[in-house]
Amino acid sequence: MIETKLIHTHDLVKTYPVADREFVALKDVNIDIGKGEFVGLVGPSGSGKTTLLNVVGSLDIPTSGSVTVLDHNIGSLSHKQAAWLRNQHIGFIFQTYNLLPVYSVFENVEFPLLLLGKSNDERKKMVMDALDWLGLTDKAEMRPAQLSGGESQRVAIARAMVKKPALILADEPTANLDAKNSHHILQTMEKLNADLDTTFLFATHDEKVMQYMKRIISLEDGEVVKDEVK
Amino acid sequence: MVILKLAYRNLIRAGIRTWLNVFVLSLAFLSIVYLKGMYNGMQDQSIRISEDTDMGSGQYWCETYDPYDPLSLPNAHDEIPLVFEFLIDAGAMTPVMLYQGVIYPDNRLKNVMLRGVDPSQQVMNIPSSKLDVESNGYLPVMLGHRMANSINAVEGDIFTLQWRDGNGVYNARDIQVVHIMTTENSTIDIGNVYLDLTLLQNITRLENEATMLVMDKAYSSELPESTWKYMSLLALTKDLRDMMEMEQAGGAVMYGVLMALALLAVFDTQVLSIWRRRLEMGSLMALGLTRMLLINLLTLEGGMHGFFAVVLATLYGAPLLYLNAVNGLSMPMDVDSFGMVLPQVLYPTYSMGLVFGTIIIVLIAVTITSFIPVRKLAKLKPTDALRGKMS
Repeated sequence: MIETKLIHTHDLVKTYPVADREFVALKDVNIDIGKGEFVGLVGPSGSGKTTLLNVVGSLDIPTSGSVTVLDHNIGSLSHKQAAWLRNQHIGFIFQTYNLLPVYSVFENVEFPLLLLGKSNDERKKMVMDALDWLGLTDKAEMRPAQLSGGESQRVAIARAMVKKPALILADEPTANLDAKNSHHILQTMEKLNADLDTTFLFATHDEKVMQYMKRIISLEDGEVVKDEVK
Repeated sequence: MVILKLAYRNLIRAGIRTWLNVFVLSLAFLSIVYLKGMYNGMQDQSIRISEDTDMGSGQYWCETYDPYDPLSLPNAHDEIPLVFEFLIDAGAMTPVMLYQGVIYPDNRLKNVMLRGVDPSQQVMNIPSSKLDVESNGYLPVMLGHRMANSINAVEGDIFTLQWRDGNGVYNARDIQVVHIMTTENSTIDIGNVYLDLTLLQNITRLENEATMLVMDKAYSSELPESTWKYMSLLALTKDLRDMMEMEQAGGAVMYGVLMALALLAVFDTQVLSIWRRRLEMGSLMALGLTRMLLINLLTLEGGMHGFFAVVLATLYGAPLLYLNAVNGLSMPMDVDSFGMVLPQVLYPTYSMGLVFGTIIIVLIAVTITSFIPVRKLAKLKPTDALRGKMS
């Protein structure tokens, strides 16, 4: 039984126009995810994992049905409200890290705080705490191009967690990493989940990631085919 | 403020790409200021020279004088109205008589304008006092250096002057060149022969007559009412200013080309930047940047090129423009043949209005150019940007 619903979807459908027909990416998806959960969306390529992540992350809107994240109906948010929701409450971790190439590690992690309007001192403290938490203090002045894949993904995690969001969405976070780095990253996120009670929603088809999940939602052709809690 | 900080950071970190654009823009900016400064300087100097050597602060013309009608020139003289006598005596104005004549240098016929001036006048900055000499029975005359060159004359040379007096009688006398003056005003030089006004009045039998009265530059009292036509300095320099405006209009085409080249570089950079940074834009939107802020950020980045260009142009351009303003630009020898008042050394005029006006134009043009490719981001979907797609 979920105590506090963080994400709620009801008959969620998402379609895309492809040539002269509609491609159904998500079909009647009904899921509830509570605060502090560590959930994996698994399934083969094209099963709708990333689409669901995008809709939950307010980067996209449902075609029909509803998605509620932190009591915000994603479908009815304006662009500005959606940006505000992402800025305030949601952190993203991408497969390709998506770090800003011309910024240093410190500046990359600092970026969400700049948008939040935090003061200089606050930003510095929060960024250094995040870097310290992820063991990146000595890399603060480096540029993304000078980092390894594992380090880059840790910076991405630091950027996602620095504002202590309620929800972190991770799209194939270990796809570009070797086994050792993957485990390190996942352990870091597991610790973050435990320490800060941050809700994690992963999209993955990596077996290594699935080992760490406390709940796995399987998708196939846009439909939820299995939802199991370990 | 965040956007400003981010735009500044992005632009500085883009390195050589930024500085190349900034340099090209600064060159365009500097060229516009330089060229406009030259035009302004040319106009200012030409008017100043005309005012100083010919026009004074204005002129009164006799009713029959029309400089655009050469056929009216034989009759372009009249008795000086009494109302001006006091001012002439006080040195606030000086009469000038223009009269047609013919000289025969080296046995060639040359039509000239006889210009009768008072040798003691101080209104026009010409060495008219040189005419106040005895010349062994010859009529003493003064030539400008261009005129002297054109007839191959030197001081002391004697020519025959022929004219038709006020009664229609042809007369001839020998004249002697007593002085060759150097002047920047070619319009009072080429084709002109200077004589003592009283002498000219005597030989033409037009006692106490003149063509025009030139007013002193310092004259600021009320203008006397007369049948003679008052021509302000503004009216007298109208042709000159019209010509300069035409030149400036031609110059504007060049500014346009210069700016277009520089703006094209900015435009290309913006297009390339948007194309290369689509993933970054998706990430920024995922981090909570609104589309509007994204558009503002990228427009500001482009617009800052203009700001940096102004700073850079100030750094390397200000000393160059200063040197140019102090030393001037020597005009080529054949500038005399342009038929307008042009100084031998041209000093540009860089006014605050010119500099700040150009800065504003450059900044606005760069910002608009930066905005044009960016505005399509208003329809950008974050998911498309994250996939590296541009809708």
